[in-house]
Amino acid sequence: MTDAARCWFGRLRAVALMAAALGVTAVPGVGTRTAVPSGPSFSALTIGYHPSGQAPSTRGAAAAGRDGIERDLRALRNAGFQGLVTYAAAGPLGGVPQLARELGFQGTVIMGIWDPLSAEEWDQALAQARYVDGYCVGNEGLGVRYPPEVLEQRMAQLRSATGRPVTTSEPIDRYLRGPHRRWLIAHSDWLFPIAHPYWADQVEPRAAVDWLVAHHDLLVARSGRAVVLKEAGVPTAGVPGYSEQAQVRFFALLEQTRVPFVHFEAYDQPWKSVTRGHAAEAYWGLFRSDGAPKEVVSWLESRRATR
Amino acid sequence: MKRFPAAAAMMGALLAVPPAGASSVGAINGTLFSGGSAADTGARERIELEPAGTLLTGRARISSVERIALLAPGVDRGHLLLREIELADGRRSLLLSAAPRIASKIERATLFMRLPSAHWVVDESAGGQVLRHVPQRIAADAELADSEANGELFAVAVRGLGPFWLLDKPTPNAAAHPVPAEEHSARTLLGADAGHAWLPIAAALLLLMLAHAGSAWVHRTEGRND
Repeated sequence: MTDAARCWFGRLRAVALMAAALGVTAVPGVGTRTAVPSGPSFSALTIGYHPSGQAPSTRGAAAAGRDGIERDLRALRNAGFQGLVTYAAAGPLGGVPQLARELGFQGTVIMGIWDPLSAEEWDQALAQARYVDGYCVGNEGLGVRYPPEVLEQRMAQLRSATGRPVTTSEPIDRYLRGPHRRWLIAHSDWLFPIAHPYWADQVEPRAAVDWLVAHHDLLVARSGRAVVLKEAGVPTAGVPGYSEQAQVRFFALLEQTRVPFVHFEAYDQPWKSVTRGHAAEAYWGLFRSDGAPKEVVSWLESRRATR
Repeated sequence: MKRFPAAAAMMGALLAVPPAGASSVGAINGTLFSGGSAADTGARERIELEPAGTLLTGRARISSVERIALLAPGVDRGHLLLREIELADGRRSLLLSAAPRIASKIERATLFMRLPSAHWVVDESAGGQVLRHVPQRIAADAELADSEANGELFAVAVRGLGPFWLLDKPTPNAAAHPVPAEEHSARTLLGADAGHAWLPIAAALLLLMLAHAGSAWVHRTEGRND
């Protein structure tokens, strides 16, 4: 190397060092952006759907008729919902994603598999892959109805077979504490917790929404993951302090927060008050069990008309 | 550099002194709000914001606020300034501020706090009125929670940045609290953001000139030796 080259090399090195020092100390906002985990988008109005009167177990789901399901989906579509989250894939429920697309649902469709070991649900879920944006395998059963090892295997198989994101759902407290919290964050393509302020004794709509926001934001901050509340809702009857007006107020306030959530739930489920022994469980619907819309549906329609 | 001890010392001094507000966690103790009594104590802290999922989040070290989560679409990084003062009568006030490019994008903010008990409330000054928030208690596993006490956090969803009061024994009339001067500009408060870039730029230019002169001198010396 000649003297001149050495000289210029030395000067270049000095300049590079200066530039590096400047880059470190003087340019705010520059750095490596943490990648946001991929998951379906829930920008459109989305609702959790299960036919009224049918428990989502395999036998109960099979009892739902296709005509009834189509009638339900038309009502939901007319109310403005574009996205759908289902809970089971047995019987006629196995065709809900395709039917929803045919009826004009253009938002995100998440297909639920109630029993991860059900061959019928598995086969129908695979057959619907082209109509769904993601799968939710299991619902409030981790460590109870199915062990983590089994669920992990089934989720991985479904992910591999369909190329779609896969998750599961548990109450949001289980994502923050308890033996499965790390498992849930590690194995879910997006976090899809169930969050009900009712069970935290948050009756007043503002307090209920604050409770949801606090839990959602803490989970996002802790996990660094995309979090969508799979079930956000309040009952309209069965216990003092709840009404259809309060349900409207709750959803109006929740929408203002921009927390991503799925409206819970489409139809009242009378069987829940019997099997679960709590009257309020039956009245979480936006529609009554006979299909009549509650006040929140009118509110959704009027809001859509003004936009 | 052995030949230039003075220049080396100057360079070291320039690089060792951080520009105002550039430390990741800085704290300045003393009276922060004008008009306070001599017994008031205060702290000021810079909170770095990092992206977490759909939010920005930052952790505080020295104040009642343990963590803050923000929904600020279009902002992927930045910092907040948190001033906290504890008055001699036990009341605490917080002032959260950020540069306008961040503050103007904030659609939601959630404060996760360490509070001595569940009886505390948080009064937020927003739009000329005072909003009272009852903190939500969240239980999280101790190793997940930042609180060392018992794994409990208190969360408050607020409208945005600005002044807050933390009250142990809430007065019936929330509007009776004096509102700390609202100052949203981080640059004004700490000389932070774009302003604090001038010192390193000047230092870099000076060092560049020194390096250039030094290398030219070395080149001339080596030329003579050859």
